[in-house]
Amino acid sequence: MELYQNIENNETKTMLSACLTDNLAALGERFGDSFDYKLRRLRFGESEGALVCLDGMCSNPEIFQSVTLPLTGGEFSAEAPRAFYERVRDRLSASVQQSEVFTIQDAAAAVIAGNLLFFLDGVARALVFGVQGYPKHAVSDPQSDMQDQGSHDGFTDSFKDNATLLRRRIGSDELCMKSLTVGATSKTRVIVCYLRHRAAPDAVADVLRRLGQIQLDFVSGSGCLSPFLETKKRRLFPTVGTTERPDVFSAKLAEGKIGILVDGTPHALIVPFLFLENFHTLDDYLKRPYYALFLRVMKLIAFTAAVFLPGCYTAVLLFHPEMLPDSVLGHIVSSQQQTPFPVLTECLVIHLIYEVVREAGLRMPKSVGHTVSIVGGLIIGDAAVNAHLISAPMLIIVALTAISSAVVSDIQDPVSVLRLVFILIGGLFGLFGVFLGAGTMLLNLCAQTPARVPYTLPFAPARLPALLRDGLLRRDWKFMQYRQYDPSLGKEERHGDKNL
Amino acid sequence: METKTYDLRALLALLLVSRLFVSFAFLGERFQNLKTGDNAAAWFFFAGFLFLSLLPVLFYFKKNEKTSILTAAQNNPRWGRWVGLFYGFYFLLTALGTLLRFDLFCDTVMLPSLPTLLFSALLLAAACYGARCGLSTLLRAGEAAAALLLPVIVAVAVLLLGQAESKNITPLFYDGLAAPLSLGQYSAGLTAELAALPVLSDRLRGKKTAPLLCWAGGLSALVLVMVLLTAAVLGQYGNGQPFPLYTVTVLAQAGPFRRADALQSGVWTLAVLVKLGFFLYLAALSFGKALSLPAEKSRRLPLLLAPLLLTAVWLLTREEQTALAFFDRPVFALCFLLGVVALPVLVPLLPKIKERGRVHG
Repeated sequence: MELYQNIENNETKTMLSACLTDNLAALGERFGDSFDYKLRRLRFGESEGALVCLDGMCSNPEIFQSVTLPLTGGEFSAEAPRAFYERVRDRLSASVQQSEVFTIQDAAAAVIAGNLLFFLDGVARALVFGVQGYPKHAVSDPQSDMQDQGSHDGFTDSFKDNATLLRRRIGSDELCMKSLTVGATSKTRVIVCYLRHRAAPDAVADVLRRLGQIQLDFVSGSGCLSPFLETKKRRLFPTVGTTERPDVFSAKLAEGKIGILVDGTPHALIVPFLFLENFHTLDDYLKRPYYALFLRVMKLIAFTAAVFLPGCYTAVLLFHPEMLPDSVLGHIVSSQQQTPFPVLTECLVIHLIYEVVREAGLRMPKSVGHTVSIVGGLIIGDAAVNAHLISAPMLIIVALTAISSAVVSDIQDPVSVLRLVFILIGGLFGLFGVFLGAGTMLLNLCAQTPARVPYTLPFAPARLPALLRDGLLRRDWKFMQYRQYDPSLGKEERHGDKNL
Repeated sequence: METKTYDLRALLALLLVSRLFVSFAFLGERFQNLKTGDNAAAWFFFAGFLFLSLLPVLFYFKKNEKTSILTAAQNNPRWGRWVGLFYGFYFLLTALGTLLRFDLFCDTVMLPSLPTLLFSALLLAAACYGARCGLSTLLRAGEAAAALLLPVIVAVAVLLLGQAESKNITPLFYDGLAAPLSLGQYSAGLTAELAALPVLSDRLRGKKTAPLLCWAGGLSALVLVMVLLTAAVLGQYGNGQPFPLYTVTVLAQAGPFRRADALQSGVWTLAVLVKLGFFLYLAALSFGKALSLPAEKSRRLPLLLAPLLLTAVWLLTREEQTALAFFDRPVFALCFLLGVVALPVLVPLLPKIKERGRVHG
């Protein structure tokens, strides 16, 4: 068999032979040990052919209707193998998805991808029929990213289905979807999506370059790719967004961002992703602007409470009790005096227990998930307070923190860790330590530049039009329909009816 | 490689926060006998000196808008390096003054029960991180700090209005002009932020004159309001306080919540973090330019400078009087005169004077 050198990616491939036996032997070496490797030999007059596929990856009805029936049901004249091959390719086959492969490696990849291959003795190439029928999840409600008014479609594990969901929402030929393969063993299909005249060309090229340089062996999910798309090493918050919703994904593409679909996972990636977007949801855009403002402000307050409330509570009790009104201080001190542990220890322990309960609730089977609520609520909460092991005000703080964390579930991970850090800082250095820690966190946020866009845009650097347009405030759609905000220019561009 | 440029307004937000901290943590030991009215009047002189000090900077921008004063000075091989070393020293001195001021503030009013040197070390570590992240990070953090700080100042001012009494403000120039003039001059001399402008000239874009004048006016107005309120609320009692502006915020209360000074001081901690990081960055930039260090090595300089600063703070705070006397030394005024007034005028002019001398000679 001849060798073929691909100069672009320095890969050497073996060309297919004109001898059917050699080709089948080469594929047999690769797949012969697998029970799902299926081979069916066919005879067409004097010519001999073969169909090759992986059982379970292809749809049997589709194979029968599109390939087997046309192939076996026709008349075969004494034509040369090449002529017969071309007749099959151009006229006999009923399959819409059809291509050719010329190398053993490409043939193997096509088989693994769930295609059916047709070999003919005397022809040094193979026909590939797209007859995939592997098991996959149906399109259903997304598991995360719950919305009140959004659609009920969520991404699935199949990148093809996800691409279809995207095409349904973006009916423009500007939508580009470039395919890559990542992972030496997993060969995971990754689709980079963007709108041609909206996304910055250098940003698209940068994403493609970063994905192309990944040297991972196995890609188990989209989370494996995120670190390669982020620009700075030390970052507290994610600079690559994720979503399970095609409506959110397509809206982000319309903003000029770049989306990445990963085969095998419903979590799509979005680049660049700004800090303020953690507090935006689809409902903000579907409800009234004043309610959108209320939701966003509430989420920011919830985030602040989730991260800083326990630390500030500890700091105020230990270092600045004079800040609290006398009546409140009296109640808290009397509760605290009955517990055996210092405030800092109590706060740390109860929050660690909360994290354990939360993690258990996530991993436990749904049938026994309610047990976690009972254990957490009744036993740990109620019984611990009655036994004076923890104080009631501390339990209230934990409950408020837990509810606040649920509001900003997208950044649950850094919030959980930062909360514990700020409890320690508040307990050791008071409110000044908390502010110093907050300042360091602010510096870290300001240092991030995903896809060369400041992570803290639009409040730092301050862009008042963006803040008022779709930052904290969300302008009415009637206002926004004739205005396009260009982040690179830092200003709005008017087009269309200027009277609105 | 083209140098990245930043909007001047972003830098001015950071400079505003930086200079306001000096007023907040102002140590008025030398002027504690000044009458309250004269104290307030001094800030009119401060505004005047501030606007005058802008003139050399604006002159520099007119002559060498796209070139940093450090680069422009390098045209003269004999003394060019010394300009870089001087600015590095000036910014390092300012950073030391900031850290020392903060350390005294911690020791006196914030956390008297904790070892403040540890707190200062943590602050310095965070500031080094900020300096290492670079100018764009510091500018963004400065804008965020300004957005937090200004409403806090306004809120405190509003809460204190009810406690202000006009009888606490003595007639202006009660003891003559000399003391208020001296205070105004002294305070203007603490505005090392102006030296940052010619140093970062090659990284600034946008209009220069109008934003700078607005900045100077806004700063003067804010400081005047703070000082007037302090005088009106505390009266002569405020003069004896180590940090009078902090003392007056202790009295601010909203409903059942009182003693919000801890919260306010926390916001100022954020401001001092940004200021310290900025001046460490500037010092590293200036020393790096003077010593012709590559950019990556210049970025590591704050880590070398930090232990020096901490050691200096430790030595100076062993005796409170030594620390307080540090701020009375003329070195700040001399550095201001050289770095803000003289060099921005001389550096663009000297090559031309030399050229003229060569032509006529």
